[in-house]
Amino acid sequence: MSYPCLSRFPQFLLISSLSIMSSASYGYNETDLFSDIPEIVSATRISQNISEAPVSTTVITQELIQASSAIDIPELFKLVPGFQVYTPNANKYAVTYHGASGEFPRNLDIRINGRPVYIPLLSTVAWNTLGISIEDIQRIEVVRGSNVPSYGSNALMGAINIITKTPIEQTSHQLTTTVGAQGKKDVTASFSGKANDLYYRVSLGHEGNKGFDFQQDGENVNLGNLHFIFTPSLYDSIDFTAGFNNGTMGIGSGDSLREYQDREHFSHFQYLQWNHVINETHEINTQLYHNYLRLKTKSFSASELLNDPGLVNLNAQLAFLAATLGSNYPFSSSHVSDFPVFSSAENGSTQTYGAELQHTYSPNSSFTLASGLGLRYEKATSYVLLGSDDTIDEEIYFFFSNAEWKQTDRLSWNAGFMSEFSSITSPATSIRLASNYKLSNSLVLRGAITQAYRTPSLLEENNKSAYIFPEGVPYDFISFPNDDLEAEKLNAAELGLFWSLPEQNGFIDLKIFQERISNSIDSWFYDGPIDLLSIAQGFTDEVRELRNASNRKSHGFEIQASIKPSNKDLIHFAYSMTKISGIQRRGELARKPDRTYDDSAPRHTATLLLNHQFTDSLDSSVIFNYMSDVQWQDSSLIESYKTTDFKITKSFPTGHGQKLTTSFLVKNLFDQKYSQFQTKNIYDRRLYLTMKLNF
Amino acid sequence: MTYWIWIARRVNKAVFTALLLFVPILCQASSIPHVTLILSSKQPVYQLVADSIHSSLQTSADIEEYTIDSINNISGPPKIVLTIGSAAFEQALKKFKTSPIIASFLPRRVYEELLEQALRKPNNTTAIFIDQSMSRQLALARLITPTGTTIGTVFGASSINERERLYHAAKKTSFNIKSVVLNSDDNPVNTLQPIIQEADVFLAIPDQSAFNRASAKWSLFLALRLKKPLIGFSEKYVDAGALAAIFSSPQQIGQHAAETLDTYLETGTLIEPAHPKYFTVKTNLKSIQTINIQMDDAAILQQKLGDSH
Repeated sequence: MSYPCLSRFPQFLLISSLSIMSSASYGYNETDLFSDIPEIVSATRISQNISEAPVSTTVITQELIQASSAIDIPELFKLVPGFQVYTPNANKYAVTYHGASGEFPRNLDIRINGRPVYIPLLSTVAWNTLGISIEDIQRIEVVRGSNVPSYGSNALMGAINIITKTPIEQTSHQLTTTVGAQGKKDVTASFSGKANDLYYRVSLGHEGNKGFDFQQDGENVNLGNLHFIFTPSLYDSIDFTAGFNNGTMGIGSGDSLREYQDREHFSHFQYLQWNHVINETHEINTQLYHNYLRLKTKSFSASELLNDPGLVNLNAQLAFLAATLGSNYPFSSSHVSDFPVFSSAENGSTQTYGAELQHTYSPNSSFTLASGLGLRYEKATSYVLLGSDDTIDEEIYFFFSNAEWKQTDRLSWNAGFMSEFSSITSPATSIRLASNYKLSNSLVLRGAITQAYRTPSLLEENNKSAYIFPEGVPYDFISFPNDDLEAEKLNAAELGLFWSLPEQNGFIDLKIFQERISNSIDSWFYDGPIDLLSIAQGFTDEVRELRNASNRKSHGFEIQASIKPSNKDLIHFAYSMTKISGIQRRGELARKPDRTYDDSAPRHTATLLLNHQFTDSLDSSVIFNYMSDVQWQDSSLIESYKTTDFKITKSFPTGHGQKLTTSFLVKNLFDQKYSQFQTKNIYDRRLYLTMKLNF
Repeated sequence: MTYWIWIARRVNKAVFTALLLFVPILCQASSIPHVTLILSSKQPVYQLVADSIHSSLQTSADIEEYTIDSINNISGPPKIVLTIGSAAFEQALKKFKTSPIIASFLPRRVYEELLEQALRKPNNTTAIFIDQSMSRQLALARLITPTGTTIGTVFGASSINERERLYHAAKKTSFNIKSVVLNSDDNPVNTLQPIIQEADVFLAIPDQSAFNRASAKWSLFLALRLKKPLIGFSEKYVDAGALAAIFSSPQQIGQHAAETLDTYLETGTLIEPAHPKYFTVKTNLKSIQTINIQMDDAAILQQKLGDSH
């Protein structure tokens, strides 16, 4: 008697399942006791603890956030070795790693819960448009060093992943208000709860201040976000977050009051993430997101800016030129009419749509592979930055793979790559190879080499700026796009030593690094087409385009220490020594000579935080910050600072389950005044009072 | 002649005596016991147990090391088999029906299940488990919450087999158990929240790694939110936020396995299957502060648990 093949299939399934069942108790064995409970994921997309990560990583914990003197999110990065935080305007923060940045640092990938917030229109991150406040943050993972093989182009110098508080872990409702220097008045409120099977957390806030004294760079914003978590089954969790930020912020330079103006912004985002555990060895993570940002500054009429009512003088000069030059007259019209002019580049709107699928495969406890693919669709509209009202766009497809192999108990390997394919630039593949070797139970030696590419951003590929009268007469050509722009290339090597100090509940991490960035994208100046301004200036007006014309390298070392000598004390120390060199080539015009990078990064940065808990309800922190001389790009100021901050926090129980926490913070306790980015951006002693009610 | 005969007899006696004297030595040399060590795989975690066995063994023994991939290279039934891990024990049971086996570094429930399926005489098999006894875990719970009355836990498809042992141990330590089975299609937060809320301490019982990861993610969040102590089962659990955990490292289990082997080699008898003699207690300072609980340091807890089994 023979059976059709199909009928044997259920038999095969039954036999297979029985053999699996019989091999062990429902597949359970000793390796299940050693499996990872997730810790950090930002370095490789694989769950690792800090000592296992292939590159140096800093985790800014909730405890550190509470002990720090930060009142805005970017200030937290002063706690990270090698990071610098500065303010071109009172509320415009710039965060960079190893310097070499200006008003718009572009080499860090910033994410919130894994959602990229890099703004393609500005090639940077606008920190005060994120839609979250410092009160929303649970912890931050910072990858110190290139992370392009995990997160793509924007992570050329490092990556930051901000993890917000989840609805499930928030223990109570919270109302927080901060008042203090510069007229600061911030208030945030967060609520969490449960509706049917949906856990939610809602956060709303208002932030306002008047900015630096005698400047007009205050801020007045409203923000909010919500986070839903739905766990339909043990192996599925769905997170949805959305938020907005709306308000104004003063921007401009301090050369004249007229150059300050309010920049209005409106941003919102939506983010959906689905995590599905298929079985012991396979896990799927899917994410979809959308970011929107609109920036708007006041426009001025050309006649107002030229101080020429009715453009009478200009038209008279044009008529004279046309009569004098005859057929050689270079412009299309000898008469111009008034038109609106934006004196700031921060105008326009941009949107990013993203989708990503990641598969994590762990066949055994020694090997994990995280692979995936995704796409990002970016579009932007900005007359000021892109030269027309047309919308431009870019599609970026990428795929990646990162593997961790624990070859022996002592030796492990990490390797990863990401390939990116853009609709407007050449494809690029970035790779990293790293190894960690456990010298002893408490000492881990690591080494990593990375070759990474940063493809030009949407703005860098398309930047075209000019002031042109409606009749087609150019007043000033500022910049033109360069079709031959290529990716910047980074070669980096690091050697690190992680020293675990279990008796002190802490660790010390040392890092020696060398980085070289070639084909760096920078402005290249040349004599452009003739325009009215060049005629007025005696043909000394230039235009610029972006070129891969600069090279720089840096080396140095970093120390990070986090120690708890007792249950009541916390010590956090971060130090970086960076020596940077290289040439920024700026073209062949004598008036635009090449520059060196020598002063573009501070040689020394250091932060020491000491926190002591006197009683269960009283604790204080002293935070010392130091940065040696640096001259940021776009700034003429050579700055350095040395400050000491002091914070004391006292909690009062106010009723059943309620607690009022009051913090008194003095920044720059000894009033060691210093300027940042602009001479008038003066930081002096500042006092803040924060009151937090948990109920 | 008589003299020469006398000399020859003396020489013969001397040679005979010398031979008699050397016999025990020769016998001893030829009786160095052979131990067959079988690892579940070449993964570092199994090698650590093997290294610990090598370094801790007091008795001179000729140890031949295999993995389950090379198990067919073993010629003849071994005198004594020491397995490391579940897969190695499973293969040893199939291949060596009569040889005595010391199983190590495997969960108790896996050992019992495999042994039952093998229909083997229990007196020539023993084990050093990887997991801690329920009574030791509940003793830790008692130290953390001296006045606590209720222990909460969730069982998965595998850990449900520990239910009886947990209830039995709870009775001895005056704890009530509040438990529920967490199935893969259950909403984990809805299932876990009432258990953690109503318990004085939550005990995580190991299951398959996917279950452990998924349930740990939510139980850690909820325990911190509800300010309840959570006892994990591994060092990584504590690193991720569990208040405390009691666990044995591969080296500690290797040391215990070596002592069991020593006993067998010296006396020819196998001791009863046992949970690890050596263990570590680890606590998470941040979690202690978050849930605001007064408790001893990990070292003191470990000392107090020293004679628990």
